[in-house]
Amino acid sequence: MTVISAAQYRRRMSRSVPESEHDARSGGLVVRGVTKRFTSGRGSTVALSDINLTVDRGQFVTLIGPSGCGKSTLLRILAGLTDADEGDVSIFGESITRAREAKHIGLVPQSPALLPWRTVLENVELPLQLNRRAGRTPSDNADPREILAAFGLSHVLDKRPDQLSGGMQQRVAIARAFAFRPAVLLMDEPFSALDELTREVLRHELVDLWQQFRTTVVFVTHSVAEAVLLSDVVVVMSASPGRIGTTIPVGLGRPRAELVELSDEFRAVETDVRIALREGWRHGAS
Amino acid sequence: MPGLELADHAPDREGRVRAVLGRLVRPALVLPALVGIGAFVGAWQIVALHNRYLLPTVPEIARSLWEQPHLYLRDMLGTLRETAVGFVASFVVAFSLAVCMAYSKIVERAVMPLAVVLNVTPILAIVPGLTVAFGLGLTPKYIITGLIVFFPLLINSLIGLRSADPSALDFFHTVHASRWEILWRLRLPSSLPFLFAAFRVCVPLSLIGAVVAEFLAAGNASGLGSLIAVAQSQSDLAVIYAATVVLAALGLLLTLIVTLVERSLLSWHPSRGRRG
Repeated sequence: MTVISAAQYRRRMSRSVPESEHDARSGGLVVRGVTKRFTSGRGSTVALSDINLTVDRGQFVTLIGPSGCGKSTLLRILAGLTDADEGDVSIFGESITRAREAKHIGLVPQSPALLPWRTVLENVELPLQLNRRAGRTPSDNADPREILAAFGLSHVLDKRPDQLSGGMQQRVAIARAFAFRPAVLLMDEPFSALDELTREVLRHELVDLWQQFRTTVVFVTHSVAEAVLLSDVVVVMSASPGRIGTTIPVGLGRPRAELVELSDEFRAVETDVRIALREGWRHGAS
Repeated sequence: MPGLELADHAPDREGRVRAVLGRLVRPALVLPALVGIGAFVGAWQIVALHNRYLLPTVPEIARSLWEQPHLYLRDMLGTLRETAVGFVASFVVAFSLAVCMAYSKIVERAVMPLAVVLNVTPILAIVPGLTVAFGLGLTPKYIITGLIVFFPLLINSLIGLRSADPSALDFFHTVHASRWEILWRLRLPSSLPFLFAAFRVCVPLSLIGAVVAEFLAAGNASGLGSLIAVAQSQSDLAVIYAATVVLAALGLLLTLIVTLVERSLLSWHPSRGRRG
C-alpha cells in the first residue's frame, strides 16, 4: 500500500491527466457519500444510500448482500456505466471518466458477453484494439496467448464462443478483462450462471490467478463461501435502502492454503459474514 | 453407409464416382422431389391439352424458350438490373437512416411515422403517378423496386443495430471505446442476422416490384414483365408462361446467392446450428 502526501494528492486531483501510469496506480479506490435513486412511475427507490468505501491497491474486496442491496449498482457506478446522484468516486486519484479513458478499468459482466463472431483469441485481443488512444505502450498489455495459456485455454484459441461450455466462456471473459492489465478489475457475479461444481473450479482458478497478478478487484457475489475464499475484505450490504452494513476483514493468509475451506478459521469468517447478512435482513425488514 | 461399401469393393475410377454420387444423390432425398415435380408437370400438361385457352402445353413453353433464348436472356437481365439497382440503393439509404435513428431519438421520432405510412400504403398505387412524371423508362421501376423494400430493410436494420448484447456494450464503455468503434465492432456485426432475415424477404419482394412496375409501365424497356405485358396483348400464353418460368429461375438464383453469402458471413450464428 503506497501512502502519498496530501500535497501530492491535491496535485493529482487538480491535473487532468495523471503524470505517469505508475502515479495513477498508487492510492486507492475511494467512494464517498454515494447515493443513487431510481425513479419510476410509482415513485423512487433508493438503490444506494450514503456509501463510503475504500479499497486499497492490490486488495480483493467482495460486495455481498441480498437482491436489491445495490451491489451491482455500486459496481456499475465504479465502472462508469451509471452516475451517482450524490457523492463522488475516484480510482487511484483519478475520476472514473479519466480512469476509463486511460483503460484502467476492466469489467467482467454477469454473462460472458463474448462476441460470437470472433474466436476465443480474437475476443481476448478485443480490448487491445479498442481505444488505442489511451496512450499505453505495448508493454502495458499482456500477451493474449500467454493469458489464455494461464487459464488453460490454449487448445481452444480458434473456437467460437458457441462451441464452448459456460464455464469456459466465463474463463475467456475473465482473460479478456486481464488482457490489458487494468488497474482495477470489476467482476459482477461472474460465476452466478454456472453450476456449483464449475463455480468451485473457477473460484480456485481465480484465487491462483489473482495471486499471480495481484490486481485490485471489486467482486460482487451472493455466495458467502465464494466471498470468504476469494477476498481480503468482505463488505456486507443490505437492502431498502441499499447501504453498507459491516466490513469484515478476512485474515486467512495469502496464498490460500490447499483445503482452506475446511479449516475452522474459514468457518469462523463465514459465520461472521452470515450473521452480518442476517442483521441486514432484520434492519431492512423493519 | 452404402456409398462407403461400394468404394471398398470398387477401386476403379468409375466405381468411385458412382459411390460419391450415390452418397450425394440419395434416393430418399431426391425421389420425393422428383415425383412431386413430375406430378405437377403431368397435371399441367393434362389441363393444358384439354383447355387450350387456359394454359399452354409444356412442349409449347419449352419451344418458346428454346427458339428465342436471347430474348428471354435480355429481358431477364433487364429485370435483374432493375431489381438489383433498386434493392441496393434502397438498402444503402435504409441502413444509413437506421444508423442515424439508432443514435438519435429525435431522428427516429421524425422518420418512423413516415416509414410506417410507407409500409401500409400499397406502393404500386403510385406507379401511374411515376409514369406521368418520369415516362415509361427505367426510373419508375428503380423507384418502385426501392420503395417496396425500404421499410423492412429500415426496420430490420434498426432492430439489428439495437440488438447488441448489453453486457458487451458495457465492456466497450468501460474501456472507453469510441462511438465509431462500438458501431463498427459491435453493432454492425450484431445486426447481420437481422439484415439477412430481411434480405431473404426483400430480394424476392424487389423482384415482384420490378415485374409489376413493368406491367404497369411497359414501354420499350427490356424486362420480363414488359415481355409478359406485350404477350398478353397478343394472347400469347406460351410466352407469358415461359417468361414466368424464367422469373422463377431468377428468383431461385437470387435467393441462392443470398443464402450462400449468409452462410459464409453468419457461420457463427446459433441459427445455423452447432458445429463440433
